[in-house]
Amino acid sequence: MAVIRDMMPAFELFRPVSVDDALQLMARHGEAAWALAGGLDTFDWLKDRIKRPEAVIDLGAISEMRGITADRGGLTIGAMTTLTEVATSPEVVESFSLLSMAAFHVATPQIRNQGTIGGNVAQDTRCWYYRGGWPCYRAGGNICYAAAPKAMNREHCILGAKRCVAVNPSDTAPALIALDAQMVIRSAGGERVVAAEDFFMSPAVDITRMTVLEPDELLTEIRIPETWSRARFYFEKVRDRQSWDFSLVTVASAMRMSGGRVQDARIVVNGVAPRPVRVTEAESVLIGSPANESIGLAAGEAAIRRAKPLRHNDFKRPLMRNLIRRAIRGQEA
Amino acid sequence: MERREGISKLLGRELYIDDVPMDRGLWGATVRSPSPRGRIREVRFSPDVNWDEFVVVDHRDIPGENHVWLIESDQPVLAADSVRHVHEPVVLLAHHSREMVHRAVRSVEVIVDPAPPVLDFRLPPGADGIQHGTDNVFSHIVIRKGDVDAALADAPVVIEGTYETGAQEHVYLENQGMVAWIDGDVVVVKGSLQCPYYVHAALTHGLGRAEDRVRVIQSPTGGGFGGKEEYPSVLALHVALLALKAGAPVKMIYDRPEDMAATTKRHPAWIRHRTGVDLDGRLLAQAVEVVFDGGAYVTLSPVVLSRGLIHAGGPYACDNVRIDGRAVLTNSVPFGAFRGFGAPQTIFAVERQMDKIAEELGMDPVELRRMNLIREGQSTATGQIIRDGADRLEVLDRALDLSAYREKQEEHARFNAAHEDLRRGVGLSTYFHGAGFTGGGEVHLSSVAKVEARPDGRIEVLTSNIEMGQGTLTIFTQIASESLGLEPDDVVIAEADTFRVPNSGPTVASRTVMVVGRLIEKACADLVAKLGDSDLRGPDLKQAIVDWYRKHSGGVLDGAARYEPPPGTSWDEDSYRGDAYGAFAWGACVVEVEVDLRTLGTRVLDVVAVQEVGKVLNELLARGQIQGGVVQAIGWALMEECVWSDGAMVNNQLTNYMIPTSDDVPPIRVDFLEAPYAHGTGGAKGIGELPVDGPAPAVAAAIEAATGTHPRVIPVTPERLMELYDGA
Repeated sequence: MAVIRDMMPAFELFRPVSVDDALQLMARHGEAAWALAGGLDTFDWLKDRIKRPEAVIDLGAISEMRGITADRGGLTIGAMTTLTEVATSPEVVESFSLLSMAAFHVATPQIRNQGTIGGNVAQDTRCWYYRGGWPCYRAGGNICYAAAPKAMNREHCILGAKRCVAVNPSDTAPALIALDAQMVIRSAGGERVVAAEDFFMSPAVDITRMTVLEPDELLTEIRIPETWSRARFYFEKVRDRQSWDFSLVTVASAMRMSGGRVQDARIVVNGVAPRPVRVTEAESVLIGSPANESIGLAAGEAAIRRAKPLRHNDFKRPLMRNLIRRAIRGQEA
Repeated sequence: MERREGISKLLGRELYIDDVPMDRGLWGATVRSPSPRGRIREVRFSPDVNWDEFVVVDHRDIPGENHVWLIESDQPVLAADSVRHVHEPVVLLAHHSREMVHRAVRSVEVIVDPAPPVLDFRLPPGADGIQHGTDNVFSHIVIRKGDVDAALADAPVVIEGTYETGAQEHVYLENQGMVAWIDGDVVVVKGSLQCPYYVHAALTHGLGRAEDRVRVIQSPTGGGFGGKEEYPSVLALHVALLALKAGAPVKMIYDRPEDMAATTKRHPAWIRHRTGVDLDGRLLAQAVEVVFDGGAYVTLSPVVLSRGLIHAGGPYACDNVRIDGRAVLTNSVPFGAFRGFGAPQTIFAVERQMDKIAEELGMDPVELRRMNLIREGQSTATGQIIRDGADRLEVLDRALDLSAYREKQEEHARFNAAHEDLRRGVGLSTYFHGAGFTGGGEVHLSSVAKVEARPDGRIEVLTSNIEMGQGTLTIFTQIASESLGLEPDDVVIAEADTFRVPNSGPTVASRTVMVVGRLIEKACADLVAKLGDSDLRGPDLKQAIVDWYRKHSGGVLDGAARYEPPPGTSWDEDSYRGDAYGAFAWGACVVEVEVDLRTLGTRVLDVVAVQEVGKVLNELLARGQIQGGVVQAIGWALMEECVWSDGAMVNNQLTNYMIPTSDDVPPIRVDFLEAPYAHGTGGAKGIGELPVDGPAPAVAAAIEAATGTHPRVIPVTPERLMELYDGA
């Protein structure tokens, strides 16, 4: 309530034209630096004056971070590529339509035109206690307001909570994990590559961060290997309305069939845990079985066995089960 | 014709109140109660702030009466000794820096000795909860027709049903905002509002000033929907108190969370029906109990209740009716005016009850309605005889035809049999809405409109009715230009400034076109008559005006008209009998939905809204009103849910209070039938609120048809549907 809106605190703005320059700036300003991509997560924080970085590094002028290139049957996507570009890219649509569908489900056309895939995976959680500036665990305090007895927690975790019960809001993240994407991370000191599955941070490890990115690191590109090219994909995002809304539960899956049975599968859900979760319980039920309604239901049941709903989000359990079931069976015509 | 302010809005040139630059001005902010009920023990100002830099106002700074002038004088401008709801205003602050003033709000602590709050309006209050009269009832109204008890006792079938509707936030695009300054010995308040003279009256009472020492000006207003009917009086008093104490202009603009948490919403309702019917489905008796949650102060609850009750029997003929309704106190942020004004709640209930009756009798819900819809010469619950030439059966049939209702039912049977996860259904509602103030309200208002000729031959229209997106400027231009035979460019609409415009009443109750438009027509005729030739029109009129001004140097040629009730109407406020409204508009709505049984999400696939609104004066604006109202009603029916804690909305942001986007509503198909109303402008009846009445019950009926569940409570969120539907 007492949050001050519509005014940003002062900061120094940098607009580097190369990744190297950006990394130098990140190294120089350390914790006081803030990387700005599409601005959709950033400006909320700044206008609400909850985050007050000293140096904002606008990545918008770095052309080497933008674009999609085919690469040995796979794709390399610059982190500054817009969500619209990802959603409509012929290469993505042809071989990795799962990612195209996921990008297409982000927010609104305007936001997809401005937002980037890097920003979409690196964005902060949308827990409204945390976003409202409440001094919770994630903000450095010693309480989780969303898990308190009278709290509103309809949007929060049913799995994997550790003190913080906020969920990861990214629509593209579960698709990237299902496609076994590799995240290329650079700092002034060099480059490292992390599997998408390991890119997202559990609050059990570091409650203040959503990803493994260190303050001086940038996610520069995302590599999608050929592995799941043209596999059988399924993506479904359930939300309260059909546009401009974060996910309640999302499922993204990739399956390879052989002789009427599932040869290999990756099933990922988001909106249910602090990080997008690969549902290995469901995968193991599935592999070697036909992809039908009853196997789908069994896989869905296996997936929610460990779920622990909060006061207001018990509906997410049947929802997650049913989405996994439908991912396996496929959408009705 | 072109929308008057359309281009400036499209180009972003329209200056809303927050766009008006302020020289040497201060920013105002509000310190609010953290507690739903109790005595204020202390207001503690943190020693970390240099309070000398701030203008600080509390209840002791109020020069007039410490209450917000409205129906009753129970709501303080600023809490003095006690508070009755969370977010109740206690202290006002102003400072040159917007950031500083908002930060300072957090440095003032209101310490309250708590008393037990009343939070559930459906339950009778305990003895320690009584805060208004002896029973917390703000208003109790009973409408009686015939002998309900005898008719229920004799009825072959009696069907009971209980229905609930939730609060709804207006979500006008522009938040509440006001600026106040001192001009000589006049306090001027300018801002986003629907009712300049309500604000004017509130300021004269609260500031203890003569009427000519208070001036209220409406600024371009970004939506109202009733949310800017009574609340702006509160904000105007606050900003004026700060400006008086500061001796400088002060601006107060609520941000979205503050606006959603602290201002009014649609009244939550609990409604029980007991209906006696014969085996053919004819209504024999309607016993209806209604309870509205009024929140912590009376505000407009008695009149919202009144309209709700008059509509509670639906557009049906029944000889024996008892509608017994109460608006009650809770320690919640006060509820207030919202498009429909109580009728959407009661119509939701009666329409769901009609579906229940149809189901229990094994009847078709369409035929049940067809049998009972009011025919010409039959009467409403208050005994108002309907003789308006409108054909309510034709409204129903047109909606059935246009929506292909019967074909859809067959198509859905096939679709549902062929699908594992998806279910489709179609639902219908029939409804009505009385236009203008209830009962003797218009007589009491005694509205006046004026027109003034300018020396160049143009005509200026002076009323206190305002543009808030619904098209007042355009339709008034059309009415004046058509009645004088002038071009639209020859008509100027005066700014709603109480120093210039007469009191033509508030911009509410679907009355602007029907009531005030008619006054404009009459004022135009009055002006023309002063030229000695009542037939003057067009270029001749223009020339005559120019000539008049040549002859009457220093004079003003004008015309005026005062409201007169339609002949032959009568209303008895004590017995609640008679002609509740000059005219009713009639509607029928068909909604088609698809429910996903695995997510229990509902999508609206098709909406048809057919209405009889007298003569349609401007089809584009009329369609816009219908479409917008339908969208608002779909939101209320499916997704707009206020979550409460201690009587305050806690999902007070647009990320978790969901309103429909363009992806959530299908193209809305609108059609009009026209039976001109003799006493409305050009035959028009009111239109603004009717479209909100019908869609919610039709959505619920469609979900029922699709899933076999019986939604009685809205919004029908996926969670609520999950409770009703076991097989998910």
